[in-house]
Amino acid sequence: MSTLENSDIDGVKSLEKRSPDTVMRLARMGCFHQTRLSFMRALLRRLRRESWRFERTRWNIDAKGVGVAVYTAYGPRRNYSLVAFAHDLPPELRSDRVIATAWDATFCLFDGIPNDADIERLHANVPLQEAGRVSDSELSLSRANRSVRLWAHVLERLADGKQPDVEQVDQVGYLMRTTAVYGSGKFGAADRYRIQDRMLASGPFRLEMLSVYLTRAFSVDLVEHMAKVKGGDKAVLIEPTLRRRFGVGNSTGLGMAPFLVNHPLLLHRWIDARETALARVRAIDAASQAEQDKFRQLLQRASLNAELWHSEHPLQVEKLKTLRAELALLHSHVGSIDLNIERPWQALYSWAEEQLTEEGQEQLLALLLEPYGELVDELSANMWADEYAAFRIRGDQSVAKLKQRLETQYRWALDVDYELRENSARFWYVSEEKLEPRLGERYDEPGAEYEQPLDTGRAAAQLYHALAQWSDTALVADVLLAEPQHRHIVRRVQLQAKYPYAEIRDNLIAADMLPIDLLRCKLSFFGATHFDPRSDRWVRICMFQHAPFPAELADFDDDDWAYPPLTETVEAVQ
Amino acid sequence: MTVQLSLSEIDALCRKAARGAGYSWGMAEEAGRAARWLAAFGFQGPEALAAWLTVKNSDHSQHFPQLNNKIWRASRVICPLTAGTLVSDRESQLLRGQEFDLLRVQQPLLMLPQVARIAEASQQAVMFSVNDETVYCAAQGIVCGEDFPWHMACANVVCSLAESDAATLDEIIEPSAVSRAVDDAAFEALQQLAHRTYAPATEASRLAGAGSCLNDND
Repeated sequence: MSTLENSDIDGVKSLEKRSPDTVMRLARMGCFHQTRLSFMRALLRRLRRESWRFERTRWNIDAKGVGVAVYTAYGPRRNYSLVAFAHDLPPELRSDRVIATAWDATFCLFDGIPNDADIERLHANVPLQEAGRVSDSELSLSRANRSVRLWAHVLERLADGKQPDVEQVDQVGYLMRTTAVYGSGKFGAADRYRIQDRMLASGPFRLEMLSVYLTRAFSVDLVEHMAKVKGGDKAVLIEPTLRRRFGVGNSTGLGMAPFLVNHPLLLHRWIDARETALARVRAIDAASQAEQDKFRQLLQRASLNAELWHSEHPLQVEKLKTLRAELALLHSHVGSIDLNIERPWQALYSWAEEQLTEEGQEQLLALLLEPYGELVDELSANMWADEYAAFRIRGDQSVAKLKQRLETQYRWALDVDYELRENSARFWYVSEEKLEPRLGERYDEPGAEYEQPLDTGRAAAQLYHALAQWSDTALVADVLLAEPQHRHIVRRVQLQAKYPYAEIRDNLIAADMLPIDLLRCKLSFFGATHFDPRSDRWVRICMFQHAPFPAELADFDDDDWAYPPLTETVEAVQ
Repeated sequence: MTVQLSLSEIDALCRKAARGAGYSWGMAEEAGRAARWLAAFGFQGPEALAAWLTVKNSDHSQHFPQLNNKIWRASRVICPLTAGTLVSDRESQLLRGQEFDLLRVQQPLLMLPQVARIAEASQQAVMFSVNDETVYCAAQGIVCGEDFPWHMACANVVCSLAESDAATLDEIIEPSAVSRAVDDAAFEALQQLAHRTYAPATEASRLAGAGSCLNDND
């Protein structure tokens, strides 16, 4: 295990990492951006480095856009295939909600290359999604709906022999958005431990990201196919530069929110990699001209990205206003200072701590990592976790020691009065209907007896009060034999002794808690951009926008796609 | 009849079933992990858990072991999940050479994962004996004779540090992460218990609880 701890890596200079009390707050986590460590970027770096080859090995799609397509990725040791089923969905059935039962397209990532019998088996199950069953041969299960507006526009233009309008493309950013991507043993799919020794699967969510990357290619192929059906010889394909402006969307609700709480060790590894990366860059003694230029260029592209980022949700509108203003401030500050000083990035980050909010600080963090791939990219290998190995309780710990841990690491939780309604207003539960996590209002709705253990702060406070009845020399083993109701929180408290970023240091049942902050944090690690909340518990995002498509991956500068290019203008792509 | 489940499905189902049967979340997590561990080693983990959860008394305290004259006993049969955590939480005592004698543990198989995890974490072989038949738990896997009473519903259990060299025994059993068949009746029983953890939907919760009320057809 110790090889995964970033502090153990020798020979790399680093400043002290930011404290969990600073980082693990929802308000900050809700400002996270994708970075070089994000899973999409780590995946494409790897695919490129290992010269993966891609092929559309099956295309049986009819004139109505119904049928099956297969995209195969050939790696040095393994092959994986996206099996895509395209459907003719009546508009009234189109819903991103998990309660939907039909979609425009359904997918699975197959371990290898499927034969006809596999396709037949998958055809009977994949379109049913949760109601079907897949097997050890399948690595993920997902579905997507069209963006109706952009789909219609692109289809009409291409069929008519014209390119789509750039502004309309930018307004939405994708032709299809996935509404769930299930991996890791869900609905019968292969367990994560079955594939953990695979090189590609060694980082978290790599195979899910591969599935989404190929889904993007499928969505563009499908609209071009439909345009050809409609326009015949007159129809055209999308120009390559414009084509890359199409990402693939995702629509995500509360189902994803508890993940970070339910996987504390994994959360620690993700945050620790990010914080270690920042600490390393801040410790750099001098920045070369090339590194400075790269930073300045990326700063401009981040500003463009913020301009192209649309949302109508009042909270996000406000956040975007702040982000744009702070990027402008950062831009003017960077223009006014000399970066040829000792520890220039530390100086810049310190300035941001004084002058910017979390919005600007977290954007700066992402930008600071950009010129330093050689220094930080290796950290993406340390972002997985063997959660079984870290599951056991240390029963020989004394009550005094456990209390001390609570006093230092849960101070944020111990001082809260949970009798006050606003501090315990919510409860997390799983609905009978779709077996998905939801959020209830404790004092207005029935069902609090079904509460899930996401009340981490309150549970810590309850444990602390319970420990007052025990002698300081008593052992955790004795406490837990007599009071097993504290076992869950004791495990969390003990985990943090070694993994300080394992707990979100905020009250997750408070009236003003925003689930979209949890969603944004997780999705930023995936590499998502353009977070567009649809409510306080539902968000749309864009993935792989501006990334090279599979066929052109080998021809592109390594990992320079995550911010929109500056040179691209409307004229250039028309 | 059986149903094919991935290991993570077994873990999730068994965790929820234990919670539905009245265990705390922390103990329910132990149940999920234990069933998963057993399934990975090819044993009847989910089936043993279903058997235990359907016979246990709703008053847990009757199954809580207490130390009396160096022997752990309960007013009824001992809960195997509590017995497992009891030994695991007292790992340091076990590793110092203390023996754990438990009288009448129901579905003793469910204790094994916790005991085996001690061996795995400490790199020291541990003995898990059920009615005088022994499983040797080593860091790399477990070793047992052909006569081990895997399906024993209730037995006396002894856990202690191993003295003999486990490698001289029969072949070592290692885990596998492939999905496995779970007995239909056990699956149904676990499903029913798991169902108790789900809140019935109301129209209001359907709209408010999950998220967006906005049109997705755009």
